[in-house]
Amino acid sequence: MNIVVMILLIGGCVIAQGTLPQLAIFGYSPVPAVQALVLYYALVRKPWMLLVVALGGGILVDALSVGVQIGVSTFCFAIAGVLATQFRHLVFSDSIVTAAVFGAIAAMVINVVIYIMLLNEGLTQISIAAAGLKMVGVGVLAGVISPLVFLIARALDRMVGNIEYQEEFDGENQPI
Amino acid sequence: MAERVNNRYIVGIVIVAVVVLLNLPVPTSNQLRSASRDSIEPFESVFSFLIHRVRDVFSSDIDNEAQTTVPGLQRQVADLEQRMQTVRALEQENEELRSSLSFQKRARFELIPCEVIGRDDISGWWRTIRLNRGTRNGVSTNMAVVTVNGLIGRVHSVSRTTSDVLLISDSTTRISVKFPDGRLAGVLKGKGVSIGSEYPIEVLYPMSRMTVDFIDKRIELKDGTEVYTSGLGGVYPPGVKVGVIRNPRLHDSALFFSADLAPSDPMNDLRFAFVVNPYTPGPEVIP
Repeated sequence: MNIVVMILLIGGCVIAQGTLPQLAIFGYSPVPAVQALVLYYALVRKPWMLLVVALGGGILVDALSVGVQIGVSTFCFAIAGVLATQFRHLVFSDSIVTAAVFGAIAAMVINVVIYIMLLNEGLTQISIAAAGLKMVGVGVLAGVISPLVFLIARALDRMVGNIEYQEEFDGENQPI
Repeated sequence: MAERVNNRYIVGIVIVAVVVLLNLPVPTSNQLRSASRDSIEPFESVFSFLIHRVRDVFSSDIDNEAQTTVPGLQRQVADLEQRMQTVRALEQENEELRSSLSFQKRARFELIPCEVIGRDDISGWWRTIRLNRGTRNGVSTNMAVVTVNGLIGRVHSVSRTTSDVLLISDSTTRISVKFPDGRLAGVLKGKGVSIGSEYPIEVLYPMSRMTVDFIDKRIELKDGTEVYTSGLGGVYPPGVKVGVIRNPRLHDSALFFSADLAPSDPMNDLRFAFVVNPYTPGPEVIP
């Protein structure tokens, strides 16, 4: 069931990211749903799942994009995910704050990396001011969308039995 | 321990995959893009339809009967507009070239009606829309895309069932444009701002939508002067309205005029667009 849920979540996130309107107030940044999903797998699920999602989601995002070289997003998602796994034992992975903070930081860093790559290749001529606005915008959007994606993904995983509950000493439910 | 070893294998596989993906040959990369777009097109259409329906619910001036006939009417109006613009351009060219060239009237262009199924690039770096027509409908790259109001962009990439249109507001856009009297106006540049929805940000950061540079200093510029495509470069047909001049000013270099350009189509709620097929003449009579 892990694979089925993964496919459903990747498809849903890609469609949401591709069709939800990009607003001026956020610098025309897309809603970074796929990246949020990668972080969910990095912080909550197993590392191999993270890498599969980074690979699949990254390929789809790049393939649906107009000019980003296929593989760039996969690379960025994988790096962000692997870095996030290094902190998973230090944070409350079920917390909304964790999802929001990790999502925002990852989104901004990934966008800076892609902006520099596009500038170097002459594929964009967006001014630094507009790019800065985009970074802030995508950070805010990621801070909002990441907890939502975590919530949906966790609910789906629990519904089909991919993750189970265990009673912690403080009474909160934590996935094993 | 075993899981750690497995994870190392997986990391290795992903690294190899990334290296392979980044070095994919262009045809393979294009095939992958096409396949992805074709497979996601039905879902995008449904999602886009739902978004439009939600908007309609909140729109007060909905007329169901009108909605059913709008696509047909828009196509007819676009066709007429296109005819008028092309005729105007042809007349101008005839006047200029009559004495030296045996100029044959240019054939009318076929307009391929399309529905907008996606808006804005998924990566957020380009200003695009996605249309529900592709190679199987005769669409190919670098075809101009218009609405009833004027030019909106060109086909950047195309799959079997969809095509991605790079809007004229994109930061990479460069179009040779001219004034109605036939004089070359200059080069249109996009600013990477989505037109029609930029108002909230103008409070914080004033952005011009598009500019026209390299305008001859001897030309007397007025606010509201119309600008048309010149046809130079071969991508955009000549005589298609692009917008009107706003805020003309001397460029910092003092060598030429620059001006902002208000687009003829605000593009804030695009639902239908028309791909201009320059290889097929249009119908002689509109039914």
